[in-house]
Amino acid sequence: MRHRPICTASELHSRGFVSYQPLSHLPSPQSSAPFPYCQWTILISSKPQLAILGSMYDTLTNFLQDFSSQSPLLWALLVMAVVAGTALVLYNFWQLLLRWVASTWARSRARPEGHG
Amino acid sequence: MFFPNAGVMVDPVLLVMLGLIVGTLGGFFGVGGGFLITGGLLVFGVPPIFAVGTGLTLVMGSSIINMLKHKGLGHVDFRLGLLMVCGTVPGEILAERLNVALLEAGIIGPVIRYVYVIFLGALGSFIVYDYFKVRHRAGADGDAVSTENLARKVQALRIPPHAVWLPGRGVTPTRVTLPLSNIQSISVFVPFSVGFGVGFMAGLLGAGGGFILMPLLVYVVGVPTVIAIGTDLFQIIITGSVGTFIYALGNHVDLLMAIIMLTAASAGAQIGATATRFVEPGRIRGLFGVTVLSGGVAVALKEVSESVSRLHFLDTVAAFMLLGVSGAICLVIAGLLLRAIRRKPAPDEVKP
Repeated sequence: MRHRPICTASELHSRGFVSYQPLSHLPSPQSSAPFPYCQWTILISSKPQLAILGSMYDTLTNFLQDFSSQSPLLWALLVMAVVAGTALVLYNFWQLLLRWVASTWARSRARPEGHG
Repeated sequence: MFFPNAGVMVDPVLLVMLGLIVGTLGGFFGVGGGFLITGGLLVFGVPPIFAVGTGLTLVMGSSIINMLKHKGLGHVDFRLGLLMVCGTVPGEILAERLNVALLEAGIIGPVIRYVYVIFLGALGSFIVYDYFKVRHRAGADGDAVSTENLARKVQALRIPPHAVWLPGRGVTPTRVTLPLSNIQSISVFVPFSVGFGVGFMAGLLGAGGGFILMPLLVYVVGVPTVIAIGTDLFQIIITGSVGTFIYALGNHVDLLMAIIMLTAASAGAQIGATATRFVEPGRIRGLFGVTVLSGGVAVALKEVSESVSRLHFLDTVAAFMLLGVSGAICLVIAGLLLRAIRRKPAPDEVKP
């Protein structure tokens, strides 16, 4: 039976369900570890990509918490740059997508008329 | 999902829905939607200071997307926008001073809420009244408003000095032409004063000011509705950026939350901005009036909940009412867009 994680390790940690440790300190699946550790190990062994995602999320969380409290000015500039950059990327994405949809729609409408 | 900066768990589906509503209303009405975002985030359990900070960050991001979309449609008058920005910044500074004085007097909360209720109520009522008045007028086109005479008088105002010396340009007249806004000649002090007034009210009420600027441009300055929407968004980018910087500096912005909502808002912006090409301006103003009125009722309910301890639940009712009305208006916008597309072909993408 495959176990699907309902949330990441840091979420479980913040809710107080587990006190997880770094990956290198985790007990092996064969060890007689308590329940939360067993579940964590199953998650890793059944879906390694989710474990990688979880670890990336943890890294991002740590970065956001540390950077925002350590360098306020750089953090403020980063927030503005990221939001402005994301807005530009999203705008261009939608422009390209809508243009592609419009051209595809126009071609599909023109084809039957050409045949007729 | 856990959001590290705000330190709360929020369902990302709720954030996506809020972002979609804000993006749609922003693109359609040319407002930042700060009051809606803050109210929504508070309902989702986000701490108040983070709700305001993250809300302003979303206002900045979604205004950039909406402004670019309206620029593509030829709806942004940059000359008018820049003239207004010159007045917005001093207006915000003056409002900040007044806020400090009110804070020291211990009356800032009730004063702001009373001003909000009166202002939103009067503005919303007038816009709805104007919509019904103009709709029944024979031969009126979609952009006709009941204050055309006032707008003509404002455009004809001759405010001294009539010329100023500018480095590199010499003596320059203070009257300008704004062809995109359909204004033959107007004193630069009019947009400056409008910007100052909006900056002052926005600073006093802690909002982006879009809901004040759009009607002012349409009813007082005489700018066509779609141009007012696009130019309004240009102005909101400036006010939103200043607010974002200040709140981020105090570490009161959750970047992850803002990015999730911004992604959803970008989809809503496509619906809202595209709808302005098809829906007639009078109907846009009518729907805007309803949104502003619902905002006024929500703030009034909030004030009652603060005054009477037994009626604290009205605070939640206000937020849900605001979200419900906004969501319903988004559905109306999407419906109007679909109906209009079926009825007539789309006009050219870029209007010079």
